[in-house]
Amino acid sequence: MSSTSQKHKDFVAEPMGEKSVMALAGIGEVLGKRLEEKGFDKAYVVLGQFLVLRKDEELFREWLKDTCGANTKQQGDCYSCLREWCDSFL
Amino acid sequence: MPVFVEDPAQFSKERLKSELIAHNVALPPPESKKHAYVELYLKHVKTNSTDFSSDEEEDHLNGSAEKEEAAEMVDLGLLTDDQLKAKLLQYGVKAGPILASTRFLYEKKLKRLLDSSAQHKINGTADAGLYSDSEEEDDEEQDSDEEQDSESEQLLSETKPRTETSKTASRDLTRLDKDTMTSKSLCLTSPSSRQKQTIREPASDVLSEMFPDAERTPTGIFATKRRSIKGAAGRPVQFKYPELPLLSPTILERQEIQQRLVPLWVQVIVFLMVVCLLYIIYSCMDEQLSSPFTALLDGLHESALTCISSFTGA
Repeated sequence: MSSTSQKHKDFVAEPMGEKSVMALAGIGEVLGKRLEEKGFDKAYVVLGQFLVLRKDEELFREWLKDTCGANTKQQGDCYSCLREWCDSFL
Repeated sequence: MPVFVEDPAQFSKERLKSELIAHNVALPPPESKKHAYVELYLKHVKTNSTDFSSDEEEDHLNGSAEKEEAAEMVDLGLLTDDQLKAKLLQYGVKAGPILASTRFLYEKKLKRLLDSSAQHKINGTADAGLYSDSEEEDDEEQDSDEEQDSESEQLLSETKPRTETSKTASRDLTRLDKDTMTSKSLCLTSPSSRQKQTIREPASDVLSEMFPDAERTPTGIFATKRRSIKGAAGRPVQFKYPELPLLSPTILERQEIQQRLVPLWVQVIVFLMVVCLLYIIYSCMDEQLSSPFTALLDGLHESALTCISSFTGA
């Protein structure tokens, strides 16, 4: 498994609660702001979108790209972060 | 559904909707009036009524990919959520809820699926044609490389259309040997080798006439690399596969065995002679042999006794 960032580990370690969307792995300030503008101000809202897309990788990646312009790496980081969180807590 | 009275204006809006869906026609926007439904129904159902069911299905299936694609693309935005979901299911995609946030994504996905399926249809036929041609070519080459006897027959038949002049079969084969030094030509020697003896005797001059540029060999015969039948007429196996090293492992083993065979017989004879000598000696010296044995035994006995007594004493 490729190395995961500290952010990823931190996010996956505990329930997300009210964490901001920028706590997600792969989502930095710029992307976070774009997401917030679209209404995804909290991590759980992005989680909601992830679940509505039935945790499908391809669709979620595409959605991220369309919504905030994430590149391939960022998409992958966010996807794996959310998926792992779901595996642990959902 | 059999419709005996074709008056769609009399159908209810719901009926028209279901009919359109059944005929795989994209519905107009929900707000449109019944008139729009009627129009679509008339347009589509009328066209289908001229062709009967089998043709209808064929048209649907074999309809040009572009037409389908264009029609679908236009209507993707007009599809209801359920229809979109149904279409995705057709392609094996189990879609989640079609919401405002997800609809756009699913439409894009469906579009991609339609494009790929259209391309797949086009590519499939082309590839099949390519593969069939290449396979035929390969088969021809393989046949010529591997088999000999059946091949010789094939090549005989092949040489005839290939050669321009109509000479005797032997001359054709020899000419091909000269011209094309491929493996195919090597196979030609299989019939030619049998005819070699008949050819060589009268054809030594003919060969020189045929190949004036060829260098003279001591035997006067131009030695083309001819393949002979394996093991036939005492010809060694080595020449069948010139690519392989001359000393194949089996041949090496045989040579080794042959090298051993010569001294092996000598060894056996020597052994027998030695046995005979010993027997003769034994028979001659029968009386004297017993005394040294007994003397040895006695000596051993005494030494053993002395050892034991020394051990027990110490």
